[in-house]
Amino acid sequence: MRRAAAFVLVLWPLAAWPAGDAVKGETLHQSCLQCHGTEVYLPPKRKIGSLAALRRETARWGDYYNPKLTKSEIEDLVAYLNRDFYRFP
Amino acid sequence: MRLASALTMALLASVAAAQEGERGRMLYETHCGGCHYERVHDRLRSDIKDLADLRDAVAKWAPQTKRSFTPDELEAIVEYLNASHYRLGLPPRGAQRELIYGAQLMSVKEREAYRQRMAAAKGAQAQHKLRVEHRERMRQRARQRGVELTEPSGVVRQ
Repeated sequence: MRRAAAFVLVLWPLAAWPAGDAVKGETLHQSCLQCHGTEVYLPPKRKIGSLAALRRETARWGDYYNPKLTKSEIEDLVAYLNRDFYRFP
Repeated sequence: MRLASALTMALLASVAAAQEGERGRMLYETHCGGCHYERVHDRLRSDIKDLADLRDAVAKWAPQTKRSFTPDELEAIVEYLNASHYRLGLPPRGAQRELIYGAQLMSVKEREAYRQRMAAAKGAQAQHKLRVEHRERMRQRARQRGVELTEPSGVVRQ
């Protein structure tokens, strides 16, 4: 039981890590660039303070599109934004 | 090597086009907004049938601003208006992922209904009609809620 708990604790951070494809995310990001530049991801305009918040905000904007972003596309975008801008652990 | 240089050229061309579009947007917003809203470009019955019509219209109305524009500046405005509204010679917006105009003012159910209506619309003309009607509804809603929408995206201005 203890071993199982330790296993879960070790894998927990991996579950939060962006599992998407940053290269696909960069392509998807072209849609975002029609309205804003990447300056919104950098201080002092940056508003997002954690990976969970980045995922939430990406999903929120994903639902503003037609077609809506799929869950895997959201993960791709999160992976790209975190790789190139946010760098949350 | 040839492929690399071709890719570089394509990338530079797309960057140049994006810069031209941005310049056109700045010029348009600075000088044209004094007389009319951007929605004049969303008319269902437009006289603009091709790029030549659009160039003629921009050249015809530009002197009303009392500022003289260079041919490059006029072309930048034409490119901006074509990319953002008319889409002449460009793939229809429906072929890409479209940011729903005023999406922040809609409920989850309303956004889903919008997607379904767009998917059910037959042809680009029917989709354009739906889009124009939707934009007008969202503009009314924005006025009622006391918020301002940026054009042409329909994102709530912060």
